[in-house]
Amino acid sequence: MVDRLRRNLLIGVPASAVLLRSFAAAAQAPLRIEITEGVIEPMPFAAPGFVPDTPAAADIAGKITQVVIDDLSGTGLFREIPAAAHIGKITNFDAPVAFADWKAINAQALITGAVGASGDKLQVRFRLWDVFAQTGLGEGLQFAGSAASWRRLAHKVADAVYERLTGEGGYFDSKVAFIAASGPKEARRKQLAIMDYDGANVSMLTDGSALVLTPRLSPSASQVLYTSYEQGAPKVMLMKAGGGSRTVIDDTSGMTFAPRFSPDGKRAVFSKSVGTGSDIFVKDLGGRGETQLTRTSSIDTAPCFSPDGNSIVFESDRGGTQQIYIMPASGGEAQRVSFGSGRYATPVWSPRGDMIAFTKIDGGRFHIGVMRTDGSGEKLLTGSYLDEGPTWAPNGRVLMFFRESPGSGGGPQIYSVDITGRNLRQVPTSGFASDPSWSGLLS
Amino acid sequence: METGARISAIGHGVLIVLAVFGLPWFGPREREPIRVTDVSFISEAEFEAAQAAAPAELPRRDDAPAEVPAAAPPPETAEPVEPEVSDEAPEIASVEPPAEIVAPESPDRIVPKVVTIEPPTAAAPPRPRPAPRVEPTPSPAVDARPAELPKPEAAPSPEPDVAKVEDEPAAPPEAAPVLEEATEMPPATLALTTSGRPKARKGNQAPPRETAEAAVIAAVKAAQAKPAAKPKPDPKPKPAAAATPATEPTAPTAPTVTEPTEARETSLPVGPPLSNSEKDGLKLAVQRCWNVPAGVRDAQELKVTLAAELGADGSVINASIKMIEPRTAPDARFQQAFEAGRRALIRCSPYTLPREKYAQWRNIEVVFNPEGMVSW
Repeated sequence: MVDRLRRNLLIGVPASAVLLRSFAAAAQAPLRIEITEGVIEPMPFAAPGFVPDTPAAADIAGKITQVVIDDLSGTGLFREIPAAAHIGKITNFDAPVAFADWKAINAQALITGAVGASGDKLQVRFRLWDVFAQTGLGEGLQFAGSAASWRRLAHKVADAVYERLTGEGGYFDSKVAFIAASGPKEARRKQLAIMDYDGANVSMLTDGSALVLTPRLSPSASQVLYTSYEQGAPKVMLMKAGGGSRTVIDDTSGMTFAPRFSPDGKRAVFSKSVGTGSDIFVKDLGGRGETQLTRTSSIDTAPCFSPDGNSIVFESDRGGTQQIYIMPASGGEAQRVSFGSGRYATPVWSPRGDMIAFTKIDGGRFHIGVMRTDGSGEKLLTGSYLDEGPTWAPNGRVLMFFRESPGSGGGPQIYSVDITGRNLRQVPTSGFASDPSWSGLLS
Repeated sequence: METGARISAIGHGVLIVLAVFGLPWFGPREREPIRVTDVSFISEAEFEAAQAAAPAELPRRDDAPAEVPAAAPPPETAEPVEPEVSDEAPEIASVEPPAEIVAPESPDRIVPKVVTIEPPTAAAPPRPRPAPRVEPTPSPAVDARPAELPKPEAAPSPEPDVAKVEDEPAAPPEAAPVLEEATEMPPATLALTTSGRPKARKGNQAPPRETAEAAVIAAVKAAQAKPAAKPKPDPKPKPAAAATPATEPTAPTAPTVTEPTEARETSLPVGPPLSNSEKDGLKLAVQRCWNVPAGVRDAQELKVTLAAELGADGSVINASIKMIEPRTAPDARFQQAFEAGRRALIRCSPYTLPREKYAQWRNIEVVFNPEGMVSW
């Protein structure tokens, strides 16, 4: 009896307690609210100067910090809180962070870093902090390289920060091929050039003696395809990104133009015109065969592979006006995907595969726009006298294109814009620049 | 017949006697385990007794006779106990030292240490570990409660919480140090893990929350009783502030938070249902600080629901924030969405909500839905 009583008590009391608790919990269910509106503003961040391991590294540490700041601020997604507003200072990379100091200036993210220099080698390490949650974001990282590549090291840091804060891949450590133009409008001198994504480290690959157009950088930024009038008629040529000798990829008769690399960089797809109209061809850059993908009397041009290499998007006037079509990479029946008003040109498949960017000519104005690969969700991001030639950032979140200003003194400049249509910025170049082609993220 | 009846009667009597007094003979085996729980209940006295039994188990593992293990363990327990006591006594703040000591040794001898830890508090007589610890920690809360002290005058509060409040008055003078101790609540969690007793948990964690709750209760009562409540407003914010930071560091001990919550919910002021304007006030406050992660791919899909616990002063307890929908982030973008929501909750804290309805908004679930905010 006693045992039973004990057992009953032992089992019954807790059970009733659990029941009571459950009732209590039910009676006081969490207050649930839904937030459907917020603010869309750049996230404020602080990046106090990276700490130099040695006095000799102080100068380069400051430069690296600035590039990181410029990279992040340039996205339009982040806003730097200038050093003058900082309350706290980072003098020791490994010391605990006084979050209160950074919270006081409303820095939501904090980047701390250190730079070590030994001989020709640089070492950059950094950590990212969520100031309000008072916790680190991801693991700290360290990059090493030659002193000459300090900008790349900075871009790597910025890429890592961007990736951690947005969940998207970065795009700062990348190259852009473009056409640098100089001289009067009637006699422009155009050179093939390559620069960092932010306009730094420009190098000219041609001397400007021949007209060059539509450079296309390979995904690894190791080679460039471009159209050259060096031989009189336009011909697609292949050159190493470092410059040097060039080769004509198709030495048959006819004009070749509008080249682009396949995702693996081993093939080139381009347009070829023999007589009237033009068709699309693909060629193995290893020197083997060439395949004709379209056979129409219309103008099929501006081909671009999908990132998986299975499809090709291109523009064609086969339906009467310039529109965008998609066909299998091996050729075959093409399907029209653009149905809006006006004409569509220069389609470019996003490296992520989810969208196609294009140039749209409608109502006498040029626009850069994006649409889903089935043609839905068309969205125009820009509009001006002449906007043309979009190219995707490695992460598929940003586009570059060139905008030409009217008038005798006008000329092309390269701009970038987020695919949300925000953050339109001019990419700084020393002179006129057009036909940008963004590489993939460098390794 | 008579003999038969006598034999029968005697036999039955014996059976009855056996049934009544014989049970304990058989019972002991079954009840022994119950006594083991008693051991954990008490501590040293029984612990010593338990040690006698313990060696029997240990030797089995080592394959060695009972004598060897018996000798080994005791010295360990004895050593830590004494030094701890000596250290804590001088420092007065007994919370910190035990925590450090317990942590390293926790693997094997958790229980014994718990016992030893208490002795320091035993400077005041009691043995039960939870109780002593609770007392020191609540003192920090006391800082905030000086305001609450008047409460008892205004309206004697029936519940135990109030009683604790009354006990606290003695400690108020030390403000800064108290706060620090409060932030070092982790020791309390250690005690929880070691003792494994509900009472211990309550006691350990109670300080920060009870203080907050007591503040609310007192506020409500004060509001009803009208008495001089002016001093309260000032102190209250302090306790709240103290409670928040305290909970932040204890972040890692999120699970422990829930138990005391349930226990106290019944004592929290519920008040009338929250009005729509009150809910909207909270909503507006949060959305003011919600920076939509517009730069993320398909940001409109990043709908996340965060659960959080608020302190009595309306401040969010950072460590309590967690994503409940989706439970696991499908990809990095949702992690970003979670962090954006978390920042929003923290940045706009504390929130202005009616204290008399604290039980209704203590736990909140916030759905961050960017669908209408971004198009890509």
